[in-house]
Amino acid sequence: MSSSLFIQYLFSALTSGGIYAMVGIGFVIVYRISKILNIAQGHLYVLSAFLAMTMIDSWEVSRWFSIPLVVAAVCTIMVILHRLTMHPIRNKDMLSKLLMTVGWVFIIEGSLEWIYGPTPRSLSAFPGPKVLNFQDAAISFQSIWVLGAAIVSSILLYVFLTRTTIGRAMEACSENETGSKLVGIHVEKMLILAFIVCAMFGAVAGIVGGPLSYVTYAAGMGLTIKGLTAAIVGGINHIYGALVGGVVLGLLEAFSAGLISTLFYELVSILALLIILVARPQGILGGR
Amino acid sequence: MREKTIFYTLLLLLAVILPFIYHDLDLVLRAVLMACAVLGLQLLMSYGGQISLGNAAFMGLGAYISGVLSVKFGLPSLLTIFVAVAVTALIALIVGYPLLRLKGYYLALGTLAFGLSVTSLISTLYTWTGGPAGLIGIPDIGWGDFEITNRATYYYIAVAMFAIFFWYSSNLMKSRVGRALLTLKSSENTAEAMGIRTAKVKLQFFVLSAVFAAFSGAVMGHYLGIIVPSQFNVIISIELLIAMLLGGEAILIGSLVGSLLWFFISDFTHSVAIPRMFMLGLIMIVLILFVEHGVSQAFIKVYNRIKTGITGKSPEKRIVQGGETNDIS
Repeated sequence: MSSSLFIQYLFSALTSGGIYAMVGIGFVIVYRISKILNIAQGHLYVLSAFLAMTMIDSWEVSRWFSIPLVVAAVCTIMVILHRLTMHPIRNKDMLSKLLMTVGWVFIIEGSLEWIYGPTPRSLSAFPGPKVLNFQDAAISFQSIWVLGAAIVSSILLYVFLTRTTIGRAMEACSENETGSKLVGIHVEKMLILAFIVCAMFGAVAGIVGGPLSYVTYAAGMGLTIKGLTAAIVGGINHIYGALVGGVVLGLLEAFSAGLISTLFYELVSILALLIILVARPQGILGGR
Repeated sequence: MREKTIFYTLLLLLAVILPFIYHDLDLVLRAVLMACAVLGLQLLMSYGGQISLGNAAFMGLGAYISGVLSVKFGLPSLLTIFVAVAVTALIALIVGYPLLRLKGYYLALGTLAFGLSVTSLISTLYTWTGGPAGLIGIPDIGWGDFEITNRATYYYIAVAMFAIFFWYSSNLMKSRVGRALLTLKSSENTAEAMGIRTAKVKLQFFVLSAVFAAFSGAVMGHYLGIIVPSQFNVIISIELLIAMLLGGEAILIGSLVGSLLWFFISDFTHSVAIPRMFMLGLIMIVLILFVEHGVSQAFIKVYNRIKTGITGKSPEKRIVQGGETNDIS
C-alpha cells in the first residue's frame, strides 16, 4: 500500500471515528449517571443536521449563528422529552427505560419523515477550501472540522468535569448517587444536565458531520449502532473510552473496506460489537 | 376455572367462523402469524426476564431458508419449512450459548447486534437471497402437485399453528421447566441455589422462541410469495416487543390480543396518513407511561370488578410473577 493511499484511509477512518466517538460519548455520559441507554442518541445527530439545513437553506440564518441555535434547539427537545416521558418512570425497571428511549427514536424519526419526507438531503459544506492536498492524498476539508470538533468538545468536556463545581458534582453523581445526595447535590438536576450534555454532543456531531454525506430521516439507527459500538468497545463506564472505541471502529471499517472488500462494510461494526460483548463486556479500557 | 374453558371455546369458535363473517382476512392472518412469534418472545421476556431485541431475525432466518430452498433447489415447501425451523433452532442454540451469559443491557445489545447481522448478511448474500430487492416467487405451501392457494386455508393453518403453540406453552409453563424459568426471573442466584441450571433453562427458552418465530416467518414467506430483508429488521423485532407489551404481561393469550390490536392500529394509521413511525412511538410511550400490564390484564381487572359487583364475592386470586393476576391465564 502506497503511503498516500494509507493517509487517505487513515483520514477517512479518523473522520468517521470522530463522529462515532462524539455519538458514543453521549451514550456514556447518560449511562454513567442514570444507567439509561439512550437509543435515540444517533437520532439527535440526524435531528440537528435537519434543523441546520432548515435554518441555513430556508430561513437563511448565517452558518455561525445557526450553530448555537441548533444546539439550543436539540437540547430543548431533549429536555422536554426527558421531562415528559422519562421523569415519570424514573423508578421503573431498566426495560421500561430502554423502551422509552426506543419510543423517542420513533417519535423523532416519525416527525422528521412527516416534515421533510423520505428524500435524502445534504447540509451545505462549511465555508472555506473544499479539498486539502496532502502529499498525493486528497482530504475533504470537512474532515478537519469533524476532527477539530471531536477534539475540542472532548477537551471542553474534560475541563467541565474536572475543573468546574457543577461538572464535579455530575461526576460525583455517576460515582455514587446516595453519597451525592448526602452532600447536597441535586441528583435530578444533574441527570437533566447529563441529558443536555449528551444532546450537545449529538447536535455538534450532526452540524459538523452533516455535510459529509446525504442524510435521511432513517439514518439515525445506523449511527446509534456505531456510536454504541464505539462506547462498548472503549468501555461503557469510561467517557474517553468512547474516543478510543470510535477511532478503533473507524480504522477497522476504513481498512477492511479498503483492503478486503466493501461488501462487508456494514457487518464489521456489528461483528466488533458482538465479539467485544461476548469476549470483554467491560470494554478495552474497563477494568473489573 | 369454568370461565376459562368457556372463554377459550368461544375464542376458538370465533376463529373458525371468522372467514365467513369478516372481509379483511389478510390482516387477521398476518396478525395470527405475528402472534406465534410474540408468544415465543413472551415466554422468553415476560416470563423469563431475558431481553431479546433480535427475534425478528429468527423469523427472517425461517422465511429465507425455507424460501431459498424451495425457490433455488425446488424442494417441496412442506419439507423446507421444517428444515428451515430445524436450522434456525440450531443457529439459535449456537448464538444463544455465548449471548445468554450476558445480562440486562448487554443481553439486549447482543441480541440487537445478532438481529442486525442477520439482516445485513441476508442483504450481502444477494446471489442467493436476492439482496435488498427481495426473494421473489416463493411457491405456496404444498408437496408436488398439491398446493394451497386459498387464503382461508392459510388462515386455518395459522390458527392451528397458534393454537398448538399456545397449548404447548401453557402446559410448559405449568411444568418443571416453566417453574424453573419463573424462579430464574425473580432471582438467578436463588434459582442456582435451588439446583436449577439457569444457563440451560435460558437456552431452552431462547431456542423455543426461535422455533416459534421461524415457523411464523416460514409460513409468512410462503403465504406472501415475496420477502425482503426489511420485513425482518430491528424495527420488526421492536414491533414484536410492542405487541407483547400491548397484549399484556405474563399472560399467554396477550400475544394474540396484542398482535391483533397492533395490526388494527397500523391499518388505521395507513388510512389517516400519519407516519407509521410516529404512531408507533406515541403508542409505545403511552403504553409505558399509563398501561402498566397491558390490555389483557386491564380487561381481566375490569371483568373481575363487574363479576364482584354482580355476585358480591371476590374472585379467587393467585399470584403470578410480578404481581397478582387472576383467572384466564
